[in-house]
Amino acid sequence: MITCTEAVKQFWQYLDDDLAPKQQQLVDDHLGICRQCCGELEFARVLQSVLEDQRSVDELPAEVRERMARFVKELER
Amino acid sequence: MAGGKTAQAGFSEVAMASLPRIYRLARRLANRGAEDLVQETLMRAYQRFGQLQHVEAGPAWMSAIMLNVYRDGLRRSKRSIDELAFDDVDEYSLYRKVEEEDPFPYSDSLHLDFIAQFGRDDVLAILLAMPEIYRAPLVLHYVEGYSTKEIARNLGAPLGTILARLHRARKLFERDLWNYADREGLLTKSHMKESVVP
Repeated sequence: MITCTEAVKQFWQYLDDDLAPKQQQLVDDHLGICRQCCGELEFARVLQSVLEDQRSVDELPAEVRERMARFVKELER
Repeated sequence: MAGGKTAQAGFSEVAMASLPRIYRLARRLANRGAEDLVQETLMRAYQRFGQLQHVEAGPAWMSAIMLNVYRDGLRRSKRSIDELAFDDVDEYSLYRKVEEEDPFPYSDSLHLDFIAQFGRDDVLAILLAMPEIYRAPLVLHYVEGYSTKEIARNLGAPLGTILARLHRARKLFERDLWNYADREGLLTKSHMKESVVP
């Protein structure tokens, strides 16, 4: 059995499916008996989705697009 | 120069179609050096354009080239070895911090309400303020979708090093979310927004 601190340290990797089978089993066992850590795991999932949400940000400024278009034209000369 | 006239005639189309993706990646990797990184990537891509088999793979191909350029830059500047020391961040838990501080005492969904205070620009500002060696694996893994093995290969670092940095990066991100919210006044009642999980 592992402690809450040990379990929490591994939650992001657990969600990434990046833990060795033995470690994953230890986290699973801990989650089976610890409601607090279940909440913490759900929160880690939310934090991941906050990062993944950055994928949809379209932030290419028009002036950068223009500068890069000119740069590409120069390359092709 | 690689690529014939036909291929080169298509380069500008591929480059401009790839630009939003590679600029987004460059901004998150290099922050203020983003435009330089994009230009170096375009130069290298132009030289190798003949190697691109399918035009629709252009954005992914350009991203891979950008990672090579970025890695080479890290090696040149030796920025990659500047590990930072953090006393207690490895065991930081934002979940517990929010619970202990209880910024919204009347909330039924305290943690979700906390996260709902952050817009995408807030999250971007937090990422850009992180030390580069931790920001890079975090962005590549969670924003760009690279596996840890791919990150290790592309950045030319051992897998164990990338895993350790990624762990620290996640915890730094948690800590920085709290510090940013505190500093920017996101925890005041008047600022509170309803929770909408992204």
